[in-house]
Amino acid sequence: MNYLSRRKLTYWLLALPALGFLGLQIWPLGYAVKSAVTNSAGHLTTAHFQQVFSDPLYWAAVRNNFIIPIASVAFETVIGVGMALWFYSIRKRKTFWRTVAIVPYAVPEIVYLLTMKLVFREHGYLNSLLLNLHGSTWIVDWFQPGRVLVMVVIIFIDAWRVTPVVFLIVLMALEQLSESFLEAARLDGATRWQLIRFIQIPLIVPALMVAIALRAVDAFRIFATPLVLLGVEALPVITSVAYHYKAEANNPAAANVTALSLAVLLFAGTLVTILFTAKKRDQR
Amino acid sequence: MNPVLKFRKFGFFKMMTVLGLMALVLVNVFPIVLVLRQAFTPGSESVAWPLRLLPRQVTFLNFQLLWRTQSLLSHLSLSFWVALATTLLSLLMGFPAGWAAARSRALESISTQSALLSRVLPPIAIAIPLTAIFIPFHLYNHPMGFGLILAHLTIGLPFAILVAYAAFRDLPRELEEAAAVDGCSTVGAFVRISLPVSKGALAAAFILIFLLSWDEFTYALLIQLTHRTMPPLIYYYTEFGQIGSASVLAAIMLIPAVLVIAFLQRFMARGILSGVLKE
Repeated sequence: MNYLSRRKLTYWLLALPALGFLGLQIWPLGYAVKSAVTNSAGHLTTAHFQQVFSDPLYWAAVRNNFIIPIASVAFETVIGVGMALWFYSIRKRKTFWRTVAIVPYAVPEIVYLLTMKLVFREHGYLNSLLLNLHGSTWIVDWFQPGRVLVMVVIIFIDAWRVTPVVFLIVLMALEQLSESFLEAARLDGATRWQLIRFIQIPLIVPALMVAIALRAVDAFRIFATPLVLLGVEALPVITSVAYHYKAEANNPAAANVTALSLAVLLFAGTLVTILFTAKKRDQR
Repeated sequence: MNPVLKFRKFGFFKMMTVLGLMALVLVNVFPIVLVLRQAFTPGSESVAWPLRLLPRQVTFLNFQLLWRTQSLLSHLSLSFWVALATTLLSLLMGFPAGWAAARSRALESISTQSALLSRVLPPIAIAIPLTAIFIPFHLYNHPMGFGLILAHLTIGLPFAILVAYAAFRDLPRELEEAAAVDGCSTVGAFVRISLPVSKGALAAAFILIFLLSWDEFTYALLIQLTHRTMPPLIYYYTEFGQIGSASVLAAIMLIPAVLVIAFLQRFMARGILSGVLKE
């Protein structure tokens, strides 16, 4: 065997354990599909699908699973870009302030959710503050199920934790820009707003697209936020309904149907995104 | 001078900046202080209405109670062990694979694509069938968390591969070629030349994978029933209204998070993670 092919073989041997392990994920996925389409006697059946698809809880979860992620990613994008543009111009103690800005992302998710529960629960810190400020007339039940408010609060809590991801990616992109662009526009008499609109925003768009794609995948897999703060029924999402079927209703087949529907949704979304961006790249 | 800064001659902008930063401290740091406060005050103060900002009484009762009744140490050491094992196995398998991906055209697309595909997969879709698959292997609710470690590898390994791939891709091949000319084998060039040069990426991957596993909630909730790691334990205490105990556990969980706050900035600044984020 010559030197080159031996080297190629070495590469493959080094990659094999990792690739083999990742490939093993087919096993649980296949097991889930089998559990979803067969009954206890091992015959093919659509009963589990019918059961899940006739459950209003599932459709409420599907609806929420579109509203929350889309609103959450929109919030992260707007606030993340805004904060990055703002922090770009902060030069004093910038490491310290940037650290403060990424705190929600750096603390463990469950700890963050616990703090939010302490703040927003009915007898929590926010209502205590409102009581002291303005008496009992300002007290709000932030987590009351079925209202628009609870959705807004959950979207804020979900989005605020990961806004630092968008913030950091965009800030890094901004800092890689040459300042001569800004200098040239300044000399030509551009205003602050024109600098943002015509120089900074167009140049950070590629990095922003990556940040949005990354965030969207995680946003659609939302699980802990509604479960820890509200429980399953008050604000169902697809993952928490799957958890409910598995752990509370003891119905693993329905749980697998539900979880697989999310996996299919995510794969389809990813595929469409890849095809769409590839097509755009070809056109260029 | 930064051209954007030139617009900041008005006091108005300066004042808005100061106000904005104060609001940021309030929203980001203050809730954590509240959890710490809750951990050190008696239960009666967690349910008092209205809540007071400053505690009337400071106590270690919550810690003592957890220590005695819930064998805090076993949950803590399980969490730590699972995170450590996940990290070491991810790096052991992921870094060679990432290096091979950076050196071989065929492996480049296979490795990065399967890592990205694993990242898209929702953990719940793996976790639910895994509970059933693990039972005959005695991996479900294993006291040492062996099943959970396997599950966490599906998160840690793609991350390790992508970090390593990004780090080694930017490394000049001439270093390894020079080593080969001097009689070093292919693996030797990786272990002796490329790996030591990429110590920074290795350290970054270590800390971040450790925290991914330390913070992980979905797999831990479904796969460990009684031998729980910290995140599901906090969830159960919150569910049963034991805010004091939950806050103590949260305070303990924060300790490694302080590390990430200190290091994340530095990794970002050195561009170690930019390669991963751009994939």
